[in-house]
Amino acid sequence: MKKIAYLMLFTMLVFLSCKKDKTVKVHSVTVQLAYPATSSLTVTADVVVKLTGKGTSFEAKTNVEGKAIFNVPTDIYEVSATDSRSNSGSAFIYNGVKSNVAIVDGWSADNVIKLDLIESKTSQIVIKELFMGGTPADDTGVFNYDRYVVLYNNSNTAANLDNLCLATVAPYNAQLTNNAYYGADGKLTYENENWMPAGQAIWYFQKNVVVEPGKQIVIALANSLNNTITYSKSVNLNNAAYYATYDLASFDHAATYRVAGENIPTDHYLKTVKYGTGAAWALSNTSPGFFIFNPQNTTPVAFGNDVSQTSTITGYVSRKVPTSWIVDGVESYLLNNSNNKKRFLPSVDAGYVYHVNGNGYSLYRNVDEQATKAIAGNEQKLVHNYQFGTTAVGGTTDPSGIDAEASIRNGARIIYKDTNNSTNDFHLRSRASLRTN
Amino acid sequence: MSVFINFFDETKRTEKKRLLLVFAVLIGFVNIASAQFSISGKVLNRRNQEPVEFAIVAVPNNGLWANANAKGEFIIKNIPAGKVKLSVQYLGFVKREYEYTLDKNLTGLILLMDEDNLTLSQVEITAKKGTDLATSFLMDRTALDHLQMLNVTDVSALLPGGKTNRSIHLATTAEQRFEINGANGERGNPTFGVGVEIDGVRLSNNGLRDQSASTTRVHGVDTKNISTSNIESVEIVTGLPSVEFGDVTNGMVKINTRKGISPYILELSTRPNTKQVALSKGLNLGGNNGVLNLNLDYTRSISNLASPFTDYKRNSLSANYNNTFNKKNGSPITFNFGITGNIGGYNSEADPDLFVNTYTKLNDNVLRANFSTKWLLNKSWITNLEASGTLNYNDKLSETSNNKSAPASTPSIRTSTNGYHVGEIYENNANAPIILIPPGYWYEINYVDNKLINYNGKLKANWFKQYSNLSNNLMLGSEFSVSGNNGKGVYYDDIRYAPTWREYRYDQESFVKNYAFYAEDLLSIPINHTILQLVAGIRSDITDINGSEYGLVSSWSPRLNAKYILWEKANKVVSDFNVKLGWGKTVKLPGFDVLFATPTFRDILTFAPGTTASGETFYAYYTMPRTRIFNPDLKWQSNVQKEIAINMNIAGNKLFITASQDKTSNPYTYQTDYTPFFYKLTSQVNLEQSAIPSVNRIYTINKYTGIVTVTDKTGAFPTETLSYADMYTFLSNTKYINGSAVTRNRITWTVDFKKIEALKTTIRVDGNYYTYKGIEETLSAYMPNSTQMMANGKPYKYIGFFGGGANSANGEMSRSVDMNFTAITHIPKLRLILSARLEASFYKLSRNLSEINGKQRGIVLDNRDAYTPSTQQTDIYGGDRFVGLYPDYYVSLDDLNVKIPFAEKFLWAKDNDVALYNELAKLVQKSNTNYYFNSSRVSNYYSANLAVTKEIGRFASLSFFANNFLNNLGKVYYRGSGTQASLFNSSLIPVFNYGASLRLKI
Repeated sequence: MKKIAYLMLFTMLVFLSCKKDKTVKVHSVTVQLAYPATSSLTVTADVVVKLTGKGTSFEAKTNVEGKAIFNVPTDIYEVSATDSRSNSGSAFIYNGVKSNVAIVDGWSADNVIKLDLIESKTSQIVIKELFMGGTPADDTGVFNYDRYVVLYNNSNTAANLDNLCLATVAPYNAQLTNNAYYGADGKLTYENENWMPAGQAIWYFQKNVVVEPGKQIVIALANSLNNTITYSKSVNLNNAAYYATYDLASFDHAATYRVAGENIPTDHYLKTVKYGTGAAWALSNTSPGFFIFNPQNTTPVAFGNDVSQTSTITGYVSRKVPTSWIVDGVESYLLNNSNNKKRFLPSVDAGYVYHVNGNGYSLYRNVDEQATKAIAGNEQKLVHNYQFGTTAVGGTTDPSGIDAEASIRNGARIIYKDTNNSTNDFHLRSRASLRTN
Repeated sequence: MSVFINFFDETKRTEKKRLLLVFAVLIGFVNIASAQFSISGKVLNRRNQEPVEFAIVAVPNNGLWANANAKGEFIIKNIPAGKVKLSVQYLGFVKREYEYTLDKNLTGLILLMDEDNLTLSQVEITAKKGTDLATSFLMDRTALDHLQMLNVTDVSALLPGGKTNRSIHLATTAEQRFEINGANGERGNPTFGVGVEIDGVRLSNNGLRDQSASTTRVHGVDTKNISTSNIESVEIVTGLPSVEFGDVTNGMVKINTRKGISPYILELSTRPNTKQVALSKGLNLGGNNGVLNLNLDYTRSISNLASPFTDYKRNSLSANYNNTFNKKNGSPITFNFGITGNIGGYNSEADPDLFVNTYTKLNDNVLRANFSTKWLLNKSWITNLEASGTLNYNDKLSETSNNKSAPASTPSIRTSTNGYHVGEIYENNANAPIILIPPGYWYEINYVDNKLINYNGKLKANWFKQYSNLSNNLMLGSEFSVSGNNGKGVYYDDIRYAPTWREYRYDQESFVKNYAFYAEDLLSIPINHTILQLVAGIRSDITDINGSEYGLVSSWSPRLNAKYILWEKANKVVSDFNVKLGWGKTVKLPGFDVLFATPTFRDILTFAPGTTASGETFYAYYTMPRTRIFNPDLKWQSNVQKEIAINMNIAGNKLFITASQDKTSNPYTYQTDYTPFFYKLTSQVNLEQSAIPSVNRIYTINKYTGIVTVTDKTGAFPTETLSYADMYTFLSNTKYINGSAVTRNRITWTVDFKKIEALKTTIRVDGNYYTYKGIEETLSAYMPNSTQMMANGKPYKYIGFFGGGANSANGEMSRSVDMNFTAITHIPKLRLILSARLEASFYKLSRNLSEINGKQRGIVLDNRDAYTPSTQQTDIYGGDRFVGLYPDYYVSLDDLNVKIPFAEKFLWAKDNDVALYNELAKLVQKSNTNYYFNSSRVSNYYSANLAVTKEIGRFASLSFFANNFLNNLGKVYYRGSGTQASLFNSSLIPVFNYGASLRLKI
């Protein structure tokens, strides 16, 4: 107790001495949520609004007028909100994000920040896991070529992946210091045009793939073979059920695309349309923005080859993918890096999940606890006390505490969280779910 | 102006007579005789009146000279009557010049020499103007001590407008090269064209080969192995060098080491990243045994102060023997022999920050030897005869250790024969055409062995003649030089883990021999009180490349220099005034990469069965050996320089201005040719139906047909012949060609203001205005990368042909004004010299260009994603415009002989054939930014240096320097891109750095 008292005294002294040098002013801030005019739903109470500054964040719930009121110190904030609601049997998600909001000296409490929300529907196919950060090798290096993605049918009906494409947003790293897609107004230049830049190349399936409800497919994004022979902490992707982004005619980087494992049927090879340059598909291993989309009224090949859909910034050639085509996406930021910037539009992903590369960590989707438990007979099959969170190293964990993989093995049906906001939907898993040793 | 009128009046009167005389002298028909006298006397040290043995007393205008004996005595005979310039010089003393009018023998002359130290009233720590007709700048030991060089290239900072070297250490694999006439990065291989000689030993990069045979390595020689402590002087010739110097197009650097009697000199230098210890001594061997100079130099430079492990070391030992024989009868013969060895180089092996057991080592071991002898015959038909020989051997072996690992077999292709080959495990067949490195971890230790050898022999004769005041010096000479590479090329320590590799030994290529013959005549014509000096020379190089298709190639380089001395040391406001003109051609011989058909290989993956559960993969490749295409039209790169220089002394203020134009023609460059190639591809698709379990399969491939068969090890299943897909690709091959001409213009000025006696300070202002323009107009073929597929899933099939190459810009221009302001305070009583120097960039502009035949190339695009020309804008230089470039025409695999105009077809396809439009769009080149063609001006910037040298008695001196001592953290504005950047750690000025040197003379 005495120690605590001394500590408090010391802390007060530090604060007082700090105060002498610098006064941190606190401002009253009001955020008004604005729902789309075409939406049948409108403002409601208890929607969580978040203000994220440099190193600090604040949350407040809306009142019945859709206003959330904060008292926050001077800073540059990102204002964001997600509202998931149902209406007439459909699930709707309203996301809004506004970056670079300066709450500084001269801020008036009368100012109201209007946060426009964008309506989107939940997806049938979701990205369950994205593993791309590399695995510690058995010597002191890192093996970076064991990447994969798991796509999962989160709905109750079978999903056709015919025409489904994999894409990586440009620029590839969120922490790029100068993302040329940001205009002078601090907004993404494609925000008003409702498209997203798919950088370098897109991948598509050779044949239609059907994924049953609650089932998944694994797509190797680099070496589609048994990587554990050399790297014991890696994953074995030489599996007859798996798929592989393997198209040597377009991407022949030897270390990334060693010959696919013989167990993978050749019709499980995804093909690519490359419109940029490079010998390997440029999925960032630190902070990718990965998304899947379904081209409408065209084919992946025709879309990828259509130069009229070109969007270029220095170092990146992309195709403009309309946001209405996008099925799901996950935006990741590099942990402990102050240069991270949003690349996804709010209707695709209003948040982000922090990532750390080189440690075998994986981006894994959180369990929708309420929906999962609501399935009859499911609750007793659920395995709790989830152990693969990374909060101890500054990462995140699944707030449901449910170990999805163990529960699936136990016969449970998992419904994953899908609010089109990775901050809510994903966490950083301490090891790839496919790792077995 | 009156001077010129007088000159022409006088010329008219005597024109005919003089022209006849000049002509007669030039062709040697007239044996002109005049009265001859001798000069004899003693050379003494002013301080102690002791003889200065070996001091060189010379009458340079007549090619006559003598060495003082042990008593300091000398005699020079047969000096024509009239005005005579006499010079005396020796190591450690200030060179002195005297002028006499000789009408009888001059005897008992006492020449007092001053020891070169800071007690003298005149001390030069800046570049002095050279005395030859060729424009040059000379930096002597005092200047070099004050400069405190890290590397010999640091002296470039003393050229007019020169900038301080930005390197603060040597511990890098990057090379340190001289940039004299032209900057690194410009077209025309400007650093490759610089000739560097140490005591006449030419350092040559011609034989250096690059590990990657597909790239060119035409750049200048690395100078890091040159000991900075043993240099007596450096002369940089920016003008036209004498025809004696060949294989040079962009300036000559002549480095002279210490030769002569000297005390023990111990030099200790320190700067944060570099320590240097040097010891030198000039030993008088006594009697008539001559002088032996020895120099030891140890230098260690580290790259990172926090981790002082990766380093560059120089361990140099030099010896030089010098003697003069036959002094007594007036026909002395000097003999000089020098040898230098250096062991050192770059090494990161001890660096604990690197991945364990990974490192890079780069040897920089050197052996240089030279001998020269000069015999003053002083006959009626010959004055001097000189013979010399040099050898330069440079071991540049590099060793790199990399950590490797793989989860599956890694193919390592070893075959050099044409055809299809399949991979095998090393244990099964160590000589297999393709070795499969098993999955796992290993170290790959790679060696690149370059051992450069250059040697030459020279024979030169001078014939001086004088009639009345007209003097003539005819020089005839020949040179035989050889350059080669005795290295083993690329190899690996463990062949089992070597990556794709074919042995190509550099020592199996022939050495290149060059025979040169030259003649040069210097004529001095006094006209009234003025003197006109004319130099005309011609050099012929005959290059014999045995074993190369280039065979025997010859070239000519004529050079003319004229100097008109209107007056010297006159008693008027402008006391000295002379004008120089120069015109001439110099030739740079090609490097070995240009000359020899370095073999390269294209390996096409033709079979890739799925990786087995144990990580095995059996690759097959089609291998096609290629050699670089011989270009029978290749010409040797040459440079034509025109120069005018004016030298004046106005009321004690010295002014030297030069203006020159360099045009480099036929620079070495290369282009790519494409030829289609058809092959068979077998993949897992063709193997999927195989009944033979993968663990029992043995794959074979027909070397000629590419058809793969699978055999069952157990014999349980019959042999299967696999189906395949017919594929095509394009093979590229490089060819050395002559690029388009490059032009450089330069105006330099040096103003040494009269000393402000009250402040004991002199001010120097020097600078240069430099312009460069290089445009490459050669028609070049271009294809996207071989992994660029078409919408139909087949490889790309169109080849675009671009005049000037497939880049948005085919050239660039730059202009700059750099100036230096140096204040030098010299207090002889305190034996102190202090200099403060402001290096300023007043104008720095560059611009990318896209031109051909003087007309704009490329089109303005409305935005970055557009492919068709803007309807609003046409001028690509209009500012903030994205620019596209179409090929002039293209050909298709369907018929490679049909040239289809690109623009017309492309714009037609946009509306009529979208699929073709999408494919052809892949040939369109675009600028990356909308400011790519903007005029890019960098705002003015500055950096300031401070240096102090203090002598402590006659036995010690201490120097200190601080470069960028104000640690300029300002910003510069780049007008082209509209961006700002900090000068801190920028490429524009050096970072703040400092150091000190202590010299002890015992």
